[in-house]
Amino acid sequence: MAGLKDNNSGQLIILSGFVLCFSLVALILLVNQTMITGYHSSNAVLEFPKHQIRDITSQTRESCVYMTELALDLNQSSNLSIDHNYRLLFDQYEQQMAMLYAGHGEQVTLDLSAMNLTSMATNTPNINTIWVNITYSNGMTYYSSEPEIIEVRP
Amino acid sequence: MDNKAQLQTLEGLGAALLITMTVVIITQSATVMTPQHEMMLDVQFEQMAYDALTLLDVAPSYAIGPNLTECVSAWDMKGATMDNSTLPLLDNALSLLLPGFLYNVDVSYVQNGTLITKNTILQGYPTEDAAVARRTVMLTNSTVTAAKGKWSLASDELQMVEVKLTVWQV
Amino acid sequence: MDDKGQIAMDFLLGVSLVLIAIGFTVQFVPGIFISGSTGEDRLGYAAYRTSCILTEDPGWWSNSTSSGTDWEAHPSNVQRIGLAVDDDVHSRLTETPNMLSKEKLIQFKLLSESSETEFIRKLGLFDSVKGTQMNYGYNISFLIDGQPLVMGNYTMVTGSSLLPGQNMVKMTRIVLIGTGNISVFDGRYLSRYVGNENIASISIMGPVTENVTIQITNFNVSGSNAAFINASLNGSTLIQSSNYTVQKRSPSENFGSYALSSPLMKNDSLRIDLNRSLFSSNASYQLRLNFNDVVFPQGSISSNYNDNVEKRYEPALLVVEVW
Repeated sequence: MAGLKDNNSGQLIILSGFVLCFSLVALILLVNQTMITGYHSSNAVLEFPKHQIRDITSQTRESCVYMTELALDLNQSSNLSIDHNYRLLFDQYEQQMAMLYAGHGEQVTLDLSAMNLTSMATNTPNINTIWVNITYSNGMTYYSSEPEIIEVRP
Repeated sequence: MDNKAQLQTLEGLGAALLITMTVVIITQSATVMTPQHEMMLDVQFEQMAYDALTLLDVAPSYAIGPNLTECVSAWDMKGATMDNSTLPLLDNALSLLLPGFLYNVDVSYVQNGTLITKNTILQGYPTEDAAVARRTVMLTNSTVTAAKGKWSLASDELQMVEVKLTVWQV
Repeated sequence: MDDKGQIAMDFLLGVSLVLIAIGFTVQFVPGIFISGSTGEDRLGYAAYRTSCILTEDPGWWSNSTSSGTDWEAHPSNVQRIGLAVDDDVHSRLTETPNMLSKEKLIQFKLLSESSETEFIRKLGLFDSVKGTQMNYGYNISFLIDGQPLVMGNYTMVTGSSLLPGQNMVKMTRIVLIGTGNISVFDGRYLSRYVGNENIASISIMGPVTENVTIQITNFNVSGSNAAFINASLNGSTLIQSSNYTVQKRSPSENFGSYALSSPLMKNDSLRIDLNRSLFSSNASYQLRLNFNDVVFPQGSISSNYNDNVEKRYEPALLVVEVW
């Protein structure tokens, strides 16, 4: 400071000018940063595929119940077993769902892992269950429900 | 201390005031410019579109009318032209649920291994901030027969149909 | 001013004042750095989250021994407030999003009135700033045809009203609200009152807890002047608006009020809403619906309201505003 004191060409003013300059730049950077984080975080709400996942699981539950009825009907009109009919129906369901979702860049796999429908033919009031493995992926979010256990009643 | 430099102290105060004011004003105006409002509006729009489809799918028939599966089952398989929808039942129900909105509805389905998409309700060309909602329904021979639709399905066939609703406001 | 640059004392004072002021701004006005936008964002999240939990979740209650989604029956042990109907209170994934239960709605309103702090905490309508709880202002309302829903003695509007000039975020959800009971009949199979083919007869077993709503779809129209004339209960004619209201829906329009004796088409639906006070005693009531040019079949078994009764849902809007 002693050097500065003897000097009268105004470095202090320049120095303080710099200080002010830098602090303002820092300020602006900070404000901008917060704006960007705000943008990204609220975007995340939109991007989580909640509706898609719900559509797949609820549709699968609904369809499984309906396919059971259909398989039972078909069993009465042909010799094929309920299980066999069910697998044929589920294959159609699975392929069409996968294609529909692939149409907008999402991957869906549905896999019939186990089922317990044989008691249905004998008219016992058991609760019949179907196990389906569901996976969903849109490149950012991966969801799996392995297995999804679905109760179907005759 | 000399008594001649009050001006500089005052200047300092003035400068401080000026800077604070500028910063406050800039940040306040910056919030107006941020796209937050728009983002929330997008979420709101998309949510509305999904709500409408969900409601149509789960509502008992006495509440709104035929549900989504019945509406789609009754389709005559023809594409729509402007303001001439081929899913009149769905058009009706949507106009009740989404008053003041414009919407298009497309259906997609898989036939012989290819994905087919057709317009069924066409009210115009969506704006940039339009929201899209999708829901799948399952058609079978019995739902189509009951709704007197034109889908040709054997009794052991399923048809998954994706209903895509695009909603926007002018 | 002297020319040797020693004014440093005053100048330094000025500069340090500026620096102190900037420092002060940075330190004590954090709002500038969190920025108004993210503040609004938080409101947006709060509104979005609240609307989602209310419409898509059935809620949850638990105590040391038991738990379930039927929190409306255990309001003191409620963990999470949700309004979606649930078929099975003990298993997951049985709720129907966007379908709101009447019982839950009433309990929701009661809860908001009995203990507001609890209510705000359960819905998460607050923000913690440095450990202290800052409650958001909110207004949650249920609207049918733009009017707040009235359920029993309650108007389904919760919260305070917005002060002018405040930043507010609003989420609107389309939902189905349970508003009571309904019995839906197909007009082509509704039983005829003995002796007159234009009068339908429905028996109702009292007492009832909800208004009696009868919806008739499809009419077997026999002439050009088809219309609904009036209703009578146990032989005495009822008075419209004080005893009952009638609404009509045509395939292209939603339900709107119906003036007695105005035209009726074969594909229309008629909804007759009878006040529950008419059915207060433990007895069987005979309701006769008098039509013109509408024929009801002979020899069908007597139509019974109670056999057919189901929960009544109506499309409505759930509006969540947070500020």
